[in-house]
Amino acid sequence: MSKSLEIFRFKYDKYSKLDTPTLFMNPGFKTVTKAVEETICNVKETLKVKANIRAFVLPDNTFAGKFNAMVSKNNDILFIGITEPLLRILDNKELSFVIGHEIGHAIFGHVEIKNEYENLSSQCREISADRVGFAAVNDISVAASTIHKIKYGLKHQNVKFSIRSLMDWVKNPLKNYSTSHPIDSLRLESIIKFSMSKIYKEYINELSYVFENNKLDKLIYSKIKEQILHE
Amino acid sequence: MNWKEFTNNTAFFLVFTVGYYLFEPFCTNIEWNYRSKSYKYCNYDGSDLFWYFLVYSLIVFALFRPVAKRLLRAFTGEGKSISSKEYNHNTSKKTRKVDNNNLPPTWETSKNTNFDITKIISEEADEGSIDHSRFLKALFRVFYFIAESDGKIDPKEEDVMDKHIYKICRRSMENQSYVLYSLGSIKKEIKDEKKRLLGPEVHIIKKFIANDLSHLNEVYESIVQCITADKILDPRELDILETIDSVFNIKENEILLNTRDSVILELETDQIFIYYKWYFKILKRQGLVEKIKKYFNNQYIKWKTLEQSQYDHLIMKSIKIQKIIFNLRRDI
Repeated sequence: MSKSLEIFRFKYDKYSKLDTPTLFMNPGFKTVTKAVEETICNVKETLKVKANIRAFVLPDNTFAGKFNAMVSKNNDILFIGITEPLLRILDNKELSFVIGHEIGHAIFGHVEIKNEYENLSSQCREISADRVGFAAVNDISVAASTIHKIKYGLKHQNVKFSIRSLMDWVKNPLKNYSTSHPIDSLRLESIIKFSMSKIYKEYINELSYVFENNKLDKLIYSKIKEQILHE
Repeated sequence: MNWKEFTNNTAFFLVFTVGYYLFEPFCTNIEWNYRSKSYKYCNYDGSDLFWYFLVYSLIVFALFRPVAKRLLRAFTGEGKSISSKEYNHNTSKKTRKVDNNNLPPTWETSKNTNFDITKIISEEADEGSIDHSRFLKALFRVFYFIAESDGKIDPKEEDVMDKHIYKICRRSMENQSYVLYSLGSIKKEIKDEKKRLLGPEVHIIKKFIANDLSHLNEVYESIVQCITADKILDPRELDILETIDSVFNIKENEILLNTRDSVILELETDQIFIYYKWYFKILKRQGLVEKIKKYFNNQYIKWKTLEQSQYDHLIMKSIKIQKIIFNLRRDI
């Protein structure tokens, strides 16, 4: 697993030593198409990840919605599962963001079975994973449209969509919001600010930056806490 | 050779017959002549023949009755018939199960040499002969068998039955109140029965709806709901479920398996643990290691994706069950 991406870890995403294998080998699920496999190869190349990745289509009987993806691990093999409806609505770049995001979870050791659930730590993990996802596409509009599509399951053409309007939603207009992920506006804000951070600029060999790493992480963390308190 | 074998032997009978007709006329028509002091043979008339035959018949009746009967049948060509006593002895066990109305009358059976009692029994067990009423009775018997497994009929379990009755009524093309009334009376009739069997009734259900998958799924869902109605899976209920699953061949039917899971996974975490352990043992006993892996992979993914639920209690449940699955996989 790539160690260079470890630098993207959100400061408040506590490191987990546990790395329990959670899925049996040969999961016995439907494998993805060649096009998806090619996208995975491209993401691996972009992120310089050498992991053995096997992707499959999540069975229909999953509980958590139509548009979902997950990652699991067995020894050094990563299993990435994506639901069929999600595969249908995403284009190649958006799919790269999702795959990058899931690889991020695996890099940061989020695949272990947790002992307890806590909103705050779960949301911090998502911030870390989003950073890897963004690094896989290096395009804010792709990250924004992917988050939007996963949330609402709508195709880009069918809905008027702008990054600004997404950013303006301090609280999500939908009542039933996932507590494991930060709200969309916060996720997007975090990605945008990360794209201007010192750590990311150094990663893409650019000199100018806007945000210091520690200050950025503190800012995002305070916003996550504020959001959880408002819920 | 004892006396019985002697009288049953055809050869002896034939020797006796030939001997009788050769020597009897000679013996019976010899008279003692006092004058010449010697035996004298005299001619016999027709009335003597009658007496010979009468005496012969009496001897045969007394000594060679079985042989005579056998030979008589062979000559008349009637074949082997059986006495009413023998018939009753051979078929007494089978006829108990068969409706007497389906048996042909006795005067017909004696004429019809091709009559076969086993044919009627096989027709009775054939799926074609299971009508809708018999299927419903079987279904209610299964429901009540499950409900009574813990000693008493729970109102929640009866609720499941009533919901199923309501579903049947809604689907019915006939007058719904009439259907509801007739189903209610069948249910009452079954409830009053004292003894119930599970296996044969489940077989009747399976035979009746085996080809109608959606109906099969609906019935199976109601049965599982009846089992989980009290929110507790006790060992007796799990035994019943195993019997039902083996009849419905659930390990080959993904749809039914998903139906069962969707009902049972609504229960509390400790009950789900019991359920997983029970199913794990069944699969392991059958040596289906690949099936165990596939099943628990599927389950793991279900619960893993539920981690992204909007409800905290579901996320907590998901994490707990992931651990259970992880511990179970160590036992393979």
